[in-house]
Amino acid sequence: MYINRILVLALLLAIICYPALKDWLGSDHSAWYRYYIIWSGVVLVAWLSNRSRHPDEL
Amino acid sequence: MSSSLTQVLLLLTLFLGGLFAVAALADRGVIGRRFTHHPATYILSLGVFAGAMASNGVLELAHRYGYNFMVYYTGVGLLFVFSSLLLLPLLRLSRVYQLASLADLLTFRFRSARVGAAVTVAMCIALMPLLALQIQALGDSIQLLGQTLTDTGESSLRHRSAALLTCVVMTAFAMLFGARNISAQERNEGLVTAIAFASLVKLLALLVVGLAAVYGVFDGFGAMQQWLQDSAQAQAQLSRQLPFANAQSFLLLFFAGGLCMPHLFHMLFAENTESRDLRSASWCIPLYLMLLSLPVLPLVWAGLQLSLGNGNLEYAGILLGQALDLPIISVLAFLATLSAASAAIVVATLALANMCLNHLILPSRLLNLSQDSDIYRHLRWLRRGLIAVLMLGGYLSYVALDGRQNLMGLAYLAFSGTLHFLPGLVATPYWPGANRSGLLAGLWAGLAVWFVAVLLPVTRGYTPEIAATLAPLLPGDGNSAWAFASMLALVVNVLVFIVVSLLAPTSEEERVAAEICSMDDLNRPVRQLLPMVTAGEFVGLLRPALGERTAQAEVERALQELQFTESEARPYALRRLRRRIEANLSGLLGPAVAHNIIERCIPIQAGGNEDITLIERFLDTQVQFTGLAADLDALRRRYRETLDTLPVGLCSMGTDGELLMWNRSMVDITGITATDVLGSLVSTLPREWGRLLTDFVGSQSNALMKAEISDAQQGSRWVSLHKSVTAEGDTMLLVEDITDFERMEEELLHNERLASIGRLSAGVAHEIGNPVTAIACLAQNLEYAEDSTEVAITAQDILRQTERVSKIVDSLVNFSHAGSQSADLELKPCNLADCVDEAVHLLSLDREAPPVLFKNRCDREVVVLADSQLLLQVFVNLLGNARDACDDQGLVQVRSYRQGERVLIDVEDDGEGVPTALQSQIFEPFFTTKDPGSGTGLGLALVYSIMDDLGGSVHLTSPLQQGPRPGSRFSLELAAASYGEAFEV
Repeated sequence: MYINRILVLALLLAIICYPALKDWLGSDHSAWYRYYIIWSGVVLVAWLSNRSRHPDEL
Repeated sequence: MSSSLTQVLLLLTLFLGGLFAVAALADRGVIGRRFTHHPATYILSLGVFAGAMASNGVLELAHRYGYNFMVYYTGVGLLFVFSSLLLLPLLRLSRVYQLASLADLLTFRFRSARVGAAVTVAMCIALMPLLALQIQALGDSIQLLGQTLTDTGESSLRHRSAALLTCVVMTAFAMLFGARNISAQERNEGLVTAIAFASLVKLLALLVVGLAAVYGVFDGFGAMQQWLQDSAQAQAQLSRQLPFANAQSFLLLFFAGGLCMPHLFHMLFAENTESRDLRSASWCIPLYLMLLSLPVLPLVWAGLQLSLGNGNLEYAGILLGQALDLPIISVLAFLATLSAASAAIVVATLALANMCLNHLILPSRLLNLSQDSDIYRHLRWLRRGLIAVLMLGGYLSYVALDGRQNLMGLAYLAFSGTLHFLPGLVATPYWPGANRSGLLAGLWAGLAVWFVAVLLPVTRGYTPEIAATLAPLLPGDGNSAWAFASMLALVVNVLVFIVVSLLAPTSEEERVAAEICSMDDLNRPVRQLLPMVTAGEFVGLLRPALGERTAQAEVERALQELQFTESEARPYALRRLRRRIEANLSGLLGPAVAHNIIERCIPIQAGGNEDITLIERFLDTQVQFTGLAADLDALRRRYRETLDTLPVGLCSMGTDGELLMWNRSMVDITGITATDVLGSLVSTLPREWGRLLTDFVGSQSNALMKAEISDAQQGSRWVSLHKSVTAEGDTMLLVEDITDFERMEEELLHNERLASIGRLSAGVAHEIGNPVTAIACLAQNLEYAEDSTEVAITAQDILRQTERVSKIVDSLVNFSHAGSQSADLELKPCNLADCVDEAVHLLSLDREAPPVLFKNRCDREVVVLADSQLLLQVFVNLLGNARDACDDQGLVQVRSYRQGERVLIDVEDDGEGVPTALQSQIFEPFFTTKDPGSGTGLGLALVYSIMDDLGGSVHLTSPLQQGPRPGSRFSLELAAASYGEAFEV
C-alpha cells in the first residue's frame, strides 16, 4: 500500500495543532476567513502530495 | 399560467436545451477530445455531488448552525484529500474488473448476487429522499421565481407540473446520453461534458450571486465585515452547535455520502479513464468545494440583514434578487439550483438504473440472453425504461413528502441511509476477513434501525421512540434525536457486521475475491486448467449462454484488448482471456451474472500452482510499495534481474509443463523471445526445442552433456542440459550453449590429426629417403657399369621412379616441417605482388604443364606480414593446383584487398571446381582429386598449415558460377604490414 508521507505528516500536524486551531477559530466569531485559510492549507497539502507522482500509478 | 411562470419555463428550456446541445456536440466529436478528455472536464463532472443541497440546502444549514455548514463540504473534500486510502484502491478494482457501481463492487468482493440485490434495494430506498430533494428544490425555485409565493392549490399544482416537466426532460436526457454506451468500459463523453458544464454554470452563478450579496447589501467586503462585528445576532448564529453536539458524526455522514452516493460513484469510477485525473481531483475538488462555499455566508448574512424568506434561507439567492430588484440575480440563483439539481437527478437515476438492471433484472433471468439476437439493444432499452421508472419514483416521493421536510432534512435522510454501505466499502480493501453473511446481516440490521428510527419518523413527522426515550441524556436541541438514531443505526450495522463475519464461515471464492481487493494482501491466482486448446474455442463455449452473435462479439473484443489472436494456445493467455471476458461481461451484465456465465460455460478443470507470470506482471505494473514492502520488492527485482542476466540459459516450468521463466540467455540460445513462450507448454515450443526439452524433462537423468539442435535459421548448435526439481514440483532447466566449445574441439582434433600426420611423415621420409638414395646411386652405377641396352633402360626406369619417390619424400619433409616451425618463425613485411610474380615465374618453368594464363592483379603497394619463402610456397601450391584444374585456355587470377589491418587475397580460377561433398576434406593430408601418380595430396594441407603458422587463414569457395567451368576461389587472409619497412622479397 502506498503511504503518502506528506499526507501522514499533515494529519499528524492537524491532530497536534487541533486544540490551538480550535481556540484560534473560536476566539473571534466574525473572522470567517480563518476557516478558508485552513482550507486553503489543506488544498495546498493535497496538491503537494500529488505533485510528484507518476501519472498513472495506482 | 402566469407570464412569469412562462418566462421561468422558457429559461428552464433554454438551460436544458444548452445541456442537450453540449452533450450532443461532445458525443459527435464537435467538441474536441482536447476538452472532453481534459482533466478539468472530469474534475468538474465530479461536482455532480453538490446537488441542490449545495446550491440551496446548505444556506439553511449555515443559517441554523453557523460555521458547521462547512462539514458538508469538508466531509466530501477530505474523501478526496485522502483519495489514496479509499478512492484509488477502489478505482483500480473498478477499472480492472469493470465495476460500475457500488453494488457491482460489493457483489464482486463478497461473491454473492444476494449482496448486489440487497445493496440495490437499499440504495433505491435511501436515494428516493435525495431525488425528492432535487425535485423539491426545483419546484420551490420555479414557484418563487414565478412570483406565486402564495401556496394556493392552483400555484402548487403549477409548480409541481413544472417540476414534472423538468423531470421528463431530464429523463429524456439521461436516456439519450447516459444509456448510449452499455458497457462500463466505455465513457459517455456527452454526459460527462454536460455534467461538467452544469457544474461550471453552478459555480459561476453562485459566485455572482454571492458577490451581489456582498456589494448589493453590504457595499463591499469591508462593510460586510464591519456589519458582522457589530451584529450580535449574526455572531451568535455563526457559533451555534450541530445537533448531538457532534460535528464529527456529521463529517462522517458527508464523508460516507461522497463515497456511497451512486451518482458520485458513477462519475468517479464508471466515467473515469485515467487514474491521474483522480489524483488531480484530490486537490481540485476540495478547491472547487471551497469556491462553492464562498457565497454561502454572505448570502445568509444578506438574508438576515434583509429578513428574507421568513426564517428559511434555502432560496436566499432568488429572494435576494427580488429584494434588490435585480431579476438577473434571481435568474442566476435559479440557474445554480437548476444545474445542480438536474445533474444530480440525471446521474443518480442513471447509476440506480444500472444497479437495478445488473442486480435485480438480469439475475432474475427475465431476459433470455442466449436466444436474444441483439442483447446490446435490449439492455440499452431496459436501462432506459428503468431510468424512467426511477425518475417517476423520485417524483412520487417528492409528491408524497409534500414539502413536509426542508432540503436539509431530506439530505440528512438520504445521507444517513447511504451511510450503511460504508462498512462494506471500507472492508473491501482493508478487511479480508469480512464475509457476505456479515455484510448482509449488518446491512439489514442497520437499515432496519434506520428505517424505523429515522426514515419513518422523518417522513411521518414524529420523533423516534428510542431517541425520545434517551432524549434527556442527549445534549443539544430536539434535532439530537435524528442524529442519535442515525449513529445508533450505523453502530448496530458495524457491530453485527463484525460479529457475524467472525462467526460465519467464509467461502474459498470469497477468500480469493478478498485477496484481489485487499490493499495489504497479494492476490495469488493459481494456474488453472481450462477445457480448450485455442482462444477460438471460447465462442463455442459461450454460445449457449450468450447466443452466437454476442459470444462472437465479446470474444473478439477481449482478444483485441489483449492483443491475442484466435489461434492463441498458451494456457496463461487463455486464462487471461477468460478473466478479461468475465470483466467485460461484468461491465455489461454485472459481476454476479458475468461470474455465473463464465463459471457455467468455461469451467476450470483443475487447479495448479500459483500463476507466477501473472503475479509478477501485476507486481511490476500495478503495485506501488512503501517501506519494508518496497525494499523486499526491490530485492525481488534484483534477484529476478540476476536470473535474467545469467550467462547460461535458465528456464523453469510447472508440473504441467507450463513455462514460468525464460531468461535472456535462453532467448539468445534458442532465438525464441520470452513473450512468445512464457505461459505456454514446453511441448509446444517451436522447432526442435520442444522435443529436446520435453524429452529431457521426462528422462530420469539430471544432465545431458551434449545435444545437437539443427536449426534452419541458426545452423547446427550444441547445448548441454541440467535440471533440478523444486519443493513445489517446478522444474528448473539450465541450458548451456556449447557450440563454440564444440567447434573449438573439432579444430583441435583436426590440428592434432595434422600434427600426428606430420610426425608420421617425418618418420616415413627419414626411413624411406636413405634407402631410396642408395637405390638411386646403385641404379646410376648400374647404368654406367653395364653395356646392355636392356639393363641401361631398366636402370633409367629405376632412376625415374626413385626421383619420383624423392619428390614425395621432399613433400613429406616440407609438410612435417611446416607445422613445427611456427614458434621460431620470424614474420617480416613482404610485397604481395612480387611474391605472386615469383610463384608464377617458377610455375612457368614447367614446360609440360598446360599453358594457362596467370594474371597478377594484386595491388603493388600491399605489404603483408609473412615469411617470404613460406608465402611463395603457398602461392606455388595454390597456383599450381589452379593450373591443373584448368584447360589450355584457362585463366588464373590473383587479387588483393585491404580490409583494415588485414589483407584478403583471392586466388581464382575458371577450372572444373571442387564438388561440395569433397570441400570439407580438401585440406586433409593425402587427399587428392588428381589421377594416381599426379599428386601427393599434401599441397593444400601444406597451404593450410603454413597459413596457420603465418597467423592467417584459407577458405575455399566453389563453384563460383553455373556452367561447365564453375571455377574455384581460395581466399587467404593475412595481417597487413606498414609500408616503408624493410622487406625481403
